[in-house]
Amino acid sequence: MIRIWKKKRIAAAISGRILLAGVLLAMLATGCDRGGKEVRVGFIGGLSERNVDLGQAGYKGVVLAVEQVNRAGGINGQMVVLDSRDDAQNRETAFKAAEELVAAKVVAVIGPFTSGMAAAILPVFNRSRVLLISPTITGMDFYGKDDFMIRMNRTTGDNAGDYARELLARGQKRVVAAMDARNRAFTESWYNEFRDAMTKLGGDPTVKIEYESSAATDYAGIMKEMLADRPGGLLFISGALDAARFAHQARKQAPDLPISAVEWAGSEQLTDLGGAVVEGLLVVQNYNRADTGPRFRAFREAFYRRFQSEPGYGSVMAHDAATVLFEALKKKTAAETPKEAVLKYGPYQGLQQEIVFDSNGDTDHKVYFTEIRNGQFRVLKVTGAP
Amino acid sequence: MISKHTQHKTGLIPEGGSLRANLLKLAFLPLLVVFPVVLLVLAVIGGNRYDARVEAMVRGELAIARTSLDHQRIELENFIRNQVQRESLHRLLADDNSSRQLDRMLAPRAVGVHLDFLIIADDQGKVIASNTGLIPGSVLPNSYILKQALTGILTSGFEAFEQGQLALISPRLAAKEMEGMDNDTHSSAVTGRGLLLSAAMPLPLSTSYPNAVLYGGIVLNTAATLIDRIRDVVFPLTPESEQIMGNVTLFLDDMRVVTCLEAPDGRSAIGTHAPPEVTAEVLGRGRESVLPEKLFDVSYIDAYAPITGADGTRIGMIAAGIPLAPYQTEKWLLIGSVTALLMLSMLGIAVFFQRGTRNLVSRLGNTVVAMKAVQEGRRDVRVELDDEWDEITKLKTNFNELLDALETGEEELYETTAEMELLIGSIPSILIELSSDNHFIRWNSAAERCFGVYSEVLIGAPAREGVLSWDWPKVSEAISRCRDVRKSVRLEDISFVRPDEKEGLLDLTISPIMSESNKPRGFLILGEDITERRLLERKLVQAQKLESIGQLAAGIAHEINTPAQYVGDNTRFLRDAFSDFERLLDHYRTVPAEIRNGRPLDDLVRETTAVEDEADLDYLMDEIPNAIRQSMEGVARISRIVGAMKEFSHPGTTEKTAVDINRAIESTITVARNEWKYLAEMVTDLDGTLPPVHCQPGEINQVFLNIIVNAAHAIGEANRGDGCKKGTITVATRNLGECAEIRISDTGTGIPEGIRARIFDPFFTTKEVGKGTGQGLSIAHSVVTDKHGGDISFETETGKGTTFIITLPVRDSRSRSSGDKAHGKTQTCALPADASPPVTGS
Repeated sequence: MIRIWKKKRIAAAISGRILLAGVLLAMLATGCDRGGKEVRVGFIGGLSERNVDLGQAGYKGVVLAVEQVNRAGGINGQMVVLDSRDDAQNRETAFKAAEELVAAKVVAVIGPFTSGMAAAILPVFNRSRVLLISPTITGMDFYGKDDFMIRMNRTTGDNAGDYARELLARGQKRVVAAMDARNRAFTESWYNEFRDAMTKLGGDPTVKIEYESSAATDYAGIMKEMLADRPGGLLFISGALDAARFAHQARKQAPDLPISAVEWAGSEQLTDLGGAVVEGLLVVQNYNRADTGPRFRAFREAFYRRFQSEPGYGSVMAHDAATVLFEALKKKTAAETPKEAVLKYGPYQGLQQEIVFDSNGDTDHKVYFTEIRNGQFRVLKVTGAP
Repeated sequence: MISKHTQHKTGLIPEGGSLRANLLKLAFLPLLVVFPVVLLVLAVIGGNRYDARVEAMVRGELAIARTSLDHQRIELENFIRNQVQRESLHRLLADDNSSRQLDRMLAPRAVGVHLDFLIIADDQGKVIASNTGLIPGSVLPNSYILKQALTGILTSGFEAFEQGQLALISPRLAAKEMEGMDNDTHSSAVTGRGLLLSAAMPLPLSTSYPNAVLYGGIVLNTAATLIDRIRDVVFPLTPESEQIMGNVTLFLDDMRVVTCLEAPDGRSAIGTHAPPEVTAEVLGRGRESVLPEKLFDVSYIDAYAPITGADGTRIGMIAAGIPLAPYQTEKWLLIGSVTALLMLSMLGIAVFFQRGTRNLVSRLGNTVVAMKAVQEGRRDVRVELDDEWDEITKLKTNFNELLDALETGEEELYETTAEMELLIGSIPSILIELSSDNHFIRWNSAAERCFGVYSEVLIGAPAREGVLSWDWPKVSEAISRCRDVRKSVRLEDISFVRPDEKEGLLDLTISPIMSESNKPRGFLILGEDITERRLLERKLVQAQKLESIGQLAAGIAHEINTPAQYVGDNTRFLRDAFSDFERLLDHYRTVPAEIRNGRPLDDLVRETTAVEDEADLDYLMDEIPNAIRQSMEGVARISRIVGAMKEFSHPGTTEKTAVDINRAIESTITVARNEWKYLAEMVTDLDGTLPPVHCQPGEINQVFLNIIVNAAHAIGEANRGDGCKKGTITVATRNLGECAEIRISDTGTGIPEGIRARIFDPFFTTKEVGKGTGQGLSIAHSVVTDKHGGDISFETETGKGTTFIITLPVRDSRSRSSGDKAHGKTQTCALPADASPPVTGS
């Protein structure tokens, strides 16, 4: 160990410290207020296990937003403290985490990121009347309900309809879908919406192969089963990892069959794990990675500086959710609940679009149809409002 | 003259007082109180705050250390990600027989970034290639990170590996770990477990090579370089900095597995344990903990934070610490600096104040000197002004202006005083001023003349018995009364001895001199030597009496003349009668001889009868007794008048005696008879029960006489032109107990309204020249009120008459009267209820 205390510098230190001493005295005299209360905000998302990508990306987006708002003086002088919980994509874990957050007296919770988890925890929040702002979920089960969850995303219905139109336009009349039953709240709703839309638009009835995503999942077997139906296209109603694995199998078993994945799979993990096998995969992105607007560029740079990685879809959505919450809390009066404030003080400026809520806390959202080319999501078209 | 009181007031600064000392006290007293309080606050609160700041600093350093460690993780993650995406790796993997080549490729890459292991495994967790010499196909240990990667997710984080697990990723490393631990002095505490920082990522799925993951990491137990690097980030070492070098330590559970902390003798702290309370707080509760602790006899302040494994369990701790001694030295140095600063400030203030007060006091000094000179009577001094223009200069200027005004004022005062003294000196009255404790303060020249004592002798002397030749007991008693009643007290006829040794009389009025607080602060005695006046008064009364007597004399002579005349006539008749009787007697004496001579009887009878007839004997026999009686009556009458006169005049009697007022009235009526008898009837209604009244008879008679004569004149005036008409004078007396009341009424003209107020004034008269001197009623008033303490008033109605009412106290009350007057009461005798007059004057 090295000691760098130089006694000969004592004299210099005395003079140097006198100013500090004066400041110290002044601080003693004035009582030196160390700041007021804090605003406790909760976070819930998948931080481990499968589908960790969306949760972790969302967590990073929220962390960045919290750090940004605190650095700008907090919410009316009060620092935001983030209390985060992992739902581990497990209903019991999620339920427990939700109860812990409510007990910790958070003003609102950002999350969850999947419809399955939302179905598990929403009753806790409705009961406790604590606001839940979900950055990503799209499940139709949560649409048009005056509950304590505000959603930042459009519905599966919107997305499924757009997918159906796009796939039909690409000539895929007969589509076979692999559906992850672990996130049934989302996937089943998505599948139903898509099937109805396809039928409506003149496509063949969509076949679905249900599976439970796990380490032991037999992707090759499922793919074989899917191909047995001689599809014109494959659709993966699953997360990024499964989509990559299905794509891998598809490339092995039917190299030329067009593949698509639902928006859930549209994260970096899809390209990281998928590599060459996901080339040409059609997937909807909820944000435009190639956006060069100043707002998004600043966010992206800040995000990279903070996490040494690119922001994902979850990060962008979660950052917007945090922005909505903080803006509303800044304007909230003592008589208003956080939910009332969020609904009252809109619209809010998100990173890439303006966010407008209806009275149920639902919003429409712009989406981007992309195709993976050279490991990158290339935007084909933009759809949705506003 | 300036009194002693004002002189006292001019003493501005009491002996021994010091403005400078007071100013200094005023300045330093708060400092002396504040100084210890500030020191105390500084030592207690400041010390605590400093400790808190040091604690906060250590927490900050811990945060940097954590961030730094996390950066290591991110770097590792990025490295793994980069490696995973390498085409060369994909190519080699695609070749089934390239295991060796892969080993060779991994080794330098691991060395380049100081990785302890870098392994490619298949999706079953079996080794494909490694830099640690693992046999291809061997199974990797159960690892959360690896499991996550096999799932498809890039994962990085900390893991705790048992020795067996370590051997599964690197047999060499496990051996080295054991070896290292064995050589360590604390090897007994070491279990051979390892703390790993690792990352794993699946290789992109491909149809050309099997599913695989890249797994790499560092065994932190051996990462001394890494910990030194983190320490350098947390405690950067630059030539300019005075940064105290701290230490960074990583714990597996509570055991130090890697640290830059070492004992002064070079022993390593590896293998030592964190304090149990830290373990409980950090590992047990997952909170940060800061506490001072002693290691190798050196005090540190250390901050601990948990290290959470990739699977979320707390597997170890990271600590950042600094040696406490320099901070404590600095703390005390800081407090010492502030103390020194405060003391220096105090000293500076002291010097500043000392100089300031010296300047102030010296600037005030010449003012004080000037004031003293003024106090000692000098008026030509002025305070010298200095260049500064402040309150002191204003004070000096004002003081000089004050002195100017004082000088002018004193001159005026001197002149006024001199004038006043001259005026007082020329007052013919005696003017004496006594202080409240009866010392002579003022003694004017009239007093000097009167007593023959000079003011120089008397001023300042106490007024007491024997100092002056006056009746001190009476004066003293009057002063006491004056002090009590706070009103003027009048003293009359105070006897004193004049400078010529003769006795004299003083008339004195003693008045209190009231202070602002309404207490007597002295007495003013105004007086007059009334000896001469008293003599004159006496003479005047006498003269008036003589005048009255003179006036009366003619009447009285007339009164006496009438009886004297008829006594004379009768005497002459008796003389003639006696001649007739002589002749008759002579005839009778011849009868016997004639008879003997024989003269015829008839002839003799005839002759005798003729003689008798000639003598008118019958007439004589009738008249002679009348004449004798009348003569005797006349003599008696004269005798009575003479007696009354004698009684009336009482010549030379000035002493008061018991007098029968009824008789005195009768005498007066008698004496004055000639004055009224042609004009009025005299009616008397004298109360026989009237007791003798103590008075001077001569003077009281004079009063009655004056009023009766006035009454007669008033009736005469009323009846002018009708000589036959007579009025009535009624004199009545009544016994009122304590007083005798005498009412003398007339039926004259009454007193005209315009002069009613003036009738008792001296020399006021309405009578024609020669008929009155205007002294009558004035003297009557003086005699009744002043000399007898009685009262004289009148009731009058124009054209109907006047009644004078005199009340006289039965007993002598003269001695009381002045005192009673001082009390504001006049002793009056109760009038009967029906006596209210139509118009009353007095």
